[in-house]
Amino acid sequence: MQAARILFRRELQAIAYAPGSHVVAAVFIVLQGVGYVAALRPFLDSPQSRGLLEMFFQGPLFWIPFLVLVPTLTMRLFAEERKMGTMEMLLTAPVRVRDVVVAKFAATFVYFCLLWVPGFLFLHLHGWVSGAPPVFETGALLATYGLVLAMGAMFLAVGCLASAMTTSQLAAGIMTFGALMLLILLAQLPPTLGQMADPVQRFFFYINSDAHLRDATAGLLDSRPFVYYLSGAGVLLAATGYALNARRWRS
Amino acid sequence: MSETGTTLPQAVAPPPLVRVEGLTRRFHRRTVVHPLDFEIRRGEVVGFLGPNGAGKTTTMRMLTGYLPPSGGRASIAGCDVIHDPIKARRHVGYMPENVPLYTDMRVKEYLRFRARLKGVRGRDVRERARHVMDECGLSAVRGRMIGTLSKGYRQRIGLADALINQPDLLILDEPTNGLDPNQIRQAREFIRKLAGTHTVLLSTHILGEVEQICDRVIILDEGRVKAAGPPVELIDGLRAAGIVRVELACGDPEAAIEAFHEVEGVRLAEVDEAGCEEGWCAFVLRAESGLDVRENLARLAAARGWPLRELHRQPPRLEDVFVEITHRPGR
Ligand SMILES: Nc1ncnc2c1ncn2[C@@H]1O[C@H](COP(=O)(O)OP(=O)(O)OP(=O)(O)O)[C@@H](O)[C@H]1O
Ligand SMILES: [Mg+2]
Repeated sequence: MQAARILFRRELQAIAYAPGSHVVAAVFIVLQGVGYVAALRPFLDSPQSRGLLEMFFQGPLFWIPFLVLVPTLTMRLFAEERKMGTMEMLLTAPVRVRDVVVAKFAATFVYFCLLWVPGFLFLHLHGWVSGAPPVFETGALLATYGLVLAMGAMFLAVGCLASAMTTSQLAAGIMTFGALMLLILLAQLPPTLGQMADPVQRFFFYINSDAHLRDATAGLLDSRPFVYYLSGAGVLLAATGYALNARRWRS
Repeated sequence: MSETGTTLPQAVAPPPLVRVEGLTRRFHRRTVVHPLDFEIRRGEVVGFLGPNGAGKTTTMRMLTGYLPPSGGRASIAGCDVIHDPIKARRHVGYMPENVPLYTDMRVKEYLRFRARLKGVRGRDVRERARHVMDECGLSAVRGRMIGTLSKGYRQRIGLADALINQPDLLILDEPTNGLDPNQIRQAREFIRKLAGTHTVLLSTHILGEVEQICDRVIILDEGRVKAAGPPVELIDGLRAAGIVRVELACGDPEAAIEAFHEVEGVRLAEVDEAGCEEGWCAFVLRAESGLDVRENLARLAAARGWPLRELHRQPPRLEDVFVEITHRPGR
């Protein structure tokens, strides 16, 4: 665990010093601002049937920045290290593969969390500026952010796995984006397929991120999505360690 | 066993620092390292030689626990590199072949990071980093980004990294690879200095280096040990020990070669075309070990009435051993 802590610090530092991560952050935050304005806009003309939170965490203005952000954060992690050969330096020090995976994931997740802070502030801005009572409940807000972070954990783990499977950052990025798109779109399938058996439908609902988010923004907190995302993240990170080891064991 | 009482002298001998037993590695069903056995005692400096692709790097990677072996066992200071890799690695300072480094870190930052990773704690981190930077001549670039440094400095960082936690065993994979002659000399001096206090396993293609600093060499070819022992012993054991250069004036070089072959102790005689000029002919002879053929050659030249203007014996070098063992026609 000591090794993981030291690697975690180094990884955070690497993120902080890389100009690329600041560009990503800037673009993401600007897009969040755009999304916020777009979500707020309809309220100026007439009362809306849906809440601000629901409008903000929905549609392409939410999903596209989200699905682009994840691969840009993760594609570098292992692919670069393997390409440069620095993995050899890491794994010949008294360090376990597990430590490397945990440290890299944790550092990326921390940075990912930071990127959501400005959006959080936007949502409060409205209340602060206008002095009006908030247009959403605090519980719903926390549920939504909790869900977004859990979802992010799993999506970042997808990115970790992709990055561990190739030495090309670009390939890792594209694989991650493709996999996440598939994950989101798959859940939209049932309505187009017509009648389905109940367990199948329940499964599709279980993995429907869009629906999870809609519920959370409406203040409905369900533990099942959290189980799905967090256990998914765990399994994917274990697979990442396995992929890194397989490279070495192959004979 | 109940014989411990009678075999006391053996029990007193310290166990080897490195023990390799039947170590094997395959890549895609091609065997790259065949069952390999050797030991390294504490304090030894062992040169690991062999042509490109012999399996030196692969073996070193298995010793450091980076590559899992396909078979066999290896242990360092009693720790098995497969079952107890973390403990085994604590005893090893490894400098990989092309010294991969984080280019986005500063030298001192990187070395402190490596020190912490290898278990150096607290105030010792800075202390050790400063110490190895001084030792390896890195003090002048301590604040520079690693990405902006020349190859020579990167090699030094690799060496400093290997030394940082004062390991028992140094495994250096071509530490002088890509250095200029001055730096090679410096690096060699440095390794020689380390030899007093460390156990070293180093691979290199510069054989003069090995002759000067290694107590023992292991020559590997196609994944098998072809020869092992102190350099002098290997040289002494060489069949074609020594090369003799002869320059004389004779009408027919072929006749001279025939005559040379008659001389006792000459194994092989060839015309050295480059050395022939205006009636003078140059020959290169390979002599059998332990025999000085120069006297016989001088007598032969006198008997035949060939004017002789050069008769020079080059003592055999490790390079001759290496070529003899690993050379195959057509490669
Ligand atoms: N990851 C790998 N996958 C497949 N083959 C490999 C791999 N690593 C090494 N080899 C093969 O193993 C053999 C031995 O390679 P190794 O790098 O150990 O040689 P070496 O003795 O270090 O050579 P050099 O003097 O060129 O450094 C080579 O034929 C090489 O192609
Ligand atoms: Mg090599």
